[in-house]
Amino acid sequence: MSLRPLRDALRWTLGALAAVLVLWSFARVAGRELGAADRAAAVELTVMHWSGEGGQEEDRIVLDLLAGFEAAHPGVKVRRINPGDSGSYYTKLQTMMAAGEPPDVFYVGTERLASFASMGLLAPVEPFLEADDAAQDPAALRLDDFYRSTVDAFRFDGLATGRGALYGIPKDFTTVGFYYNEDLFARAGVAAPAAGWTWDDFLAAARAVGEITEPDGSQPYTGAEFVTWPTMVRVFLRTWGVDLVTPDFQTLRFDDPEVYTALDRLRSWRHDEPRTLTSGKSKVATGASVFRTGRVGMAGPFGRWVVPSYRQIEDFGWDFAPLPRAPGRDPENVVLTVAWSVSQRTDHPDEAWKLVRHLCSAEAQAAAAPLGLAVPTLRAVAESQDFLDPAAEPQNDRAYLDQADYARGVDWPAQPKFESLLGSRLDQGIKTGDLSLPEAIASFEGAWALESASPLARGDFDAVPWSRLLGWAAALGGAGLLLALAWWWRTRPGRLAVREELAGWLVISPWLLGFLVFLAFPIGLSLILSFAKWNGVATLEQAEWVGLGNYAQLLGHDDRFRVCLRVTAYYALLAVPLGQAFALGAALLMNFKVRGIGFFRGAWYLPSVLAGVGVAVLWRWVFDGDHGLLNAALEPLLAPLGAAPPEWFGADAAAWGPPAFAVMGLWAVGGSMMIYLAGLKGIPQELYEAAEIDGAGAWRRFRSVTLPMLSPVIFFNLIMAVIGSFQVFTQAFVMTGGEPGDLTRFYVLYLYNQAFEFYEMGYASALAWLLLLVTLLLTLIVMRGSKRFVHYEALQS
Amino acid sequence: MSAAPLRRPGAAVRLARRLLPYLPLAFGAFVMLFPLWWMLAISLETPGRAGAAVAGGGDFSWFPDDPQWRNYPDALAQLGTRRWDGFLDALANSVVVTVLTVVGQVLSCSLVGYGFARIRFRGSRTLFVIMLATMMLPPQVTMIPLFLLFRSLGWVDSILPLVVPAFFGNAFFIFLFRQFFAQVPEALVEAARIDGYGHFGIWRKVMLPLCKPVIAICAVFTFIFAWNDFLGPLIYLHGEEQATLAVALNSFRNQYGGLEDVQYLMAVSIVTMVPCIALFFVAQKQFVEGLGKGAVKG
Repeated sequence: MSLRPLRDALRWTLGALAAVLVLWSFARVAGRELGAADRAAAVELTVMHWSGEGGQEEDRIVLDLLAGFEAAHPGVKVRRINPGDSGSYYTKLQTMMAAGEPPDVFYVGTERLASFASMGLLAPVEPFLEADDAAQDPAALRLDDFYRSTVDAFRFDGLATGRGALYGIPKDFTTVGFYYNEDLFARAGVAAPAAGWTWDDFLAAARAVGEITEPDGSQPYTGAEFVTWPTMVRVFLRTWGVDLVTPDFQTLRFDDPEVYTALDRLRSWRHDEPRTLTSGKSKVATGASVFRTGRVGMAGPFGRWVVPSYRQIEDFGWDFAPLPRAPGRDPENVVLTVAWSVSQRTDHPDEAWKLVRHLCSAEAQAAAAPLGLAVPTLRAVAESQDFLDPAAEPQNDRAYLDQADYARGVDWPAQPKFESLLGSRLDQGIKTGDLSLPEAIASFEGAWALESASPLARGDFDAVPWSRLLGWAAALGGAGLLLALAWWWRTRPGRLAVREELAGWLVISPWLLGFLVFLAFPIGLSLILSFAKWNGVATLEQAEWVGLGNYAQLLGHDDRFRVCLRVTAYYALLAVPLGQAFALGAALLMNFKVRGIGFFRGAWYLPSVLAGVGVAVLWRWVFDGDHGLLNAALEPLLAPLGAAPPEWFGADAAAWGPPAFAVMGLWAVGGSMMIYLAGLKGIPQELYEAAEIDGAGAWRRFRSVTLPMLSPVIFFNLIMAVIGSFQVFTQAFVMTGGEPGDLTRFYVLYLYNQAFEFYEMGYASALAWLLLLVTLLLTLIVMRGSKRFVHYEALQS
Repeated sequence: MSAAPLRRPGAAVRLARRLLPYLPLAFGAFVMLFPLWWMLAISLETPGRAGAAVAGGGDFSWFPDDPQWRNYPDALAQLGTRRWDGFLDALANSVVVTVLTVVGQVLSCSLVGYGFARIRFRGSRTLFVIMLATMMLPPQVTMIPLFLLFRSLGWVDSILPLVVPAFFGNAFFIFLFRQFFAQVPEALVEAARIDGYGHFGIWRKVMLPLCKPVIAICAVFTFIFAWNDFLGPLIYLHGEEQATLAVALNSFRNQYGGLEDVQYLMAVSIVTMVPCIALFFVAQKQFVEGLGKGAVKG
């Protein structure tokens, strides 16, 4: 009781604060927008880039460079867009390209070059270079000043990268190798890696670090973290003189015993020896960050990008070692690089080129070099103290440059599915180990053969007949409208009922209008696209009509689709009943009239409010196979039973991956819980009193009063849960990305992969429509079943 | 009012019964609050300890020995490229977008929900099923067509694509409102009709006051959705000064992989969540105010 004044005061303060915040926000935004209205623009260039590993510093460097360019070119104004990480960057770039409004100048990584160039999105830059030469422009770039391999990485001849026309100027690059922990090497009595070290040396060092024994007898260290990204695996194979595919990408080389031996070597180091390579279990400390814990002797193959982060390491010394070579063979390496490219569609190609020149100039590279994130592509800058700074770690800066002389780009087919599928299967075979290596290879070969044999993969198709389709749509719509009107007129009710009917249409008109404007068009377009092949990057006119091709491929030529469907169905079967039962139970609990119930309601609801990167980090840590909280809690419980907790997203992902997401979903029970609670509060108390007088016990009251009265709400939540269970995306996207293999690749995640990574927008639309049909069917089943149990008090009276 | 118990249980039993619900409540609260507590604890750690705790190399401590409160101003100031301005702009943008979305959503959804629940007109059932079906199309696939649409309207690079659709209803909330409106006793509506109210009047004078819990749910859910929405602002807003908090947070240093400066990341995450948490505590009284409380008995 005495708390009330305090609570009221708090409420008032919060309300006042909120009001002030809202007023201030509107004022600030309005002020900015009005101020922006009278901005004069001469030539406006849009520049888009990301600042992933470089963070704020990288962002700042680009910003300064652009300011410098504007100062030097008074007629040009530069608009800068930085969506953050490279994933968000490519999503945004794709929507802008599809709308025919790409930025004028933007980053392109080597891995996307083939796709973009083959779609005609990038302007070839050699004509600009020649024009500069002809004009004897003092600011002209000379390709000879660049590391040759970095320039060649942006050539594309229609089939493979590395040759043909040039589509961008590399801004910086890196070669790869291993980062090693000097302290652990010293404790293990291993010498620092020398320039020409071999895989034998690497293995000896890793084993020695794994054998380090603490005074208490424990052996907490692991030899090395070895990432198995497809590019790194191919570089590893190259050091053994073999590759996975023939240079024309037509033939896979898995039957080559040398390829198999090399891959199996990598698998064996990880799985047949206890502490030589990290287990592949951990999802938290993946890749680069595991090195920072100080528990691994080496980590790689990584490029220069980890350096800004490793420079923060205080607890141990570290340095960079070149990539080991195979005994008796020459060293090999890879060039990974990002270029500034000019859009093919820019209105100001000359200004855009001048900007690229400026962004790749020696001054620009010198400004970025101290950040340590990458190696300058201009040889002169790379050899200067800006990069080779002896005061900044790593000491062995020289190794990146030495490797550049023989490094080559790793080329991929213009079809991004190849790399994705290969990566996912390689992970299963040599990282998590849930498939044996021959199984993983067979699975990849089978899926790829199926994919290549599909009628969609080859063949020319006609353009989508947009005008004819539009005509058909208009005719159909018009006919439908006429029919509806005719039907309405024929069966029109009496005068009073007509007024009632008009009122009904009027009241729902906001939704109807919104539906027609904001939904009907995208939905109709996606339906048409589901019969088309469209990459979602070129404009719609370039879409090709494939009829039922997408659906045929889905049902007959797509192995991954089947896996995704199974994963999603498994999840839905678990998550819907479990989640609803839990939510209803929670709501009943929250309905108790006990002191402090407000606090408990808040606490139970809280996880539904959490979102974003922080939560993803949290969940990865909770479910981690090595150090995870959940397994730490489960271990003592399961140990007496002789069982071990599952590796949720590792070797046991087939059985335990989807359930892990269902468990995670229980945390977000708050939304359904609140809807149930609101429903419970709507049940008249009198009904319970009457039931009690009739001698009904608690269970009976629940069954005969609560459940029937709550049935419309249960119905609502059930339908929402069914729909939601097929649309799991964010959690899987940020936590596992569908890995290992495709064992947590939920339906919509696969759809996203198709649309935004493989550039198969038509195929993604077909996936969406199939999903729509499946959910609609399930919903209709629930609705049909609900007739028996849903009880609308009002409408029946 | 309540039925007289036949026999009075002993004092100890009564006490036990009163305390019993606290057991699951408290356990659940602990489990549910743990994530937030964890983020809070990490946000106050030093860089080395935070990184190690997250990666599993170190121990997670419930109370940081040496809480680094400076992490909060430091992290917020670093948001965006302009010191502090990045954060203030993002905050203002998020507030504006969210407030407009909530207002639009509550008004439009309750009205349309009323229409579907209480007005009989031919075609309403078909339209209702169509509306439900629109929820089943994953947003990822309508994203690009929608973008094309908004571009042709000239709305890209403004907040209009984020805000305007809210004024035209949302299938989820319309459905929710409909489920509740359908339960309101017909007698109440009848009485209002006799008093001379039309449909609009019934919606405003009878339905809205009765449905405070649903309005609260709609408002809070919409608030949280709009506040946390990432993909929409990412695609439609170009300039850094237009970014909302969710977008600014994403471009903040760590991207889903690395664990550098994870303490800053957690600090910004928590600041981003505070309005949602505060709103929930304020609105929860509305959530539980009985539907049709004291309206028609029996």
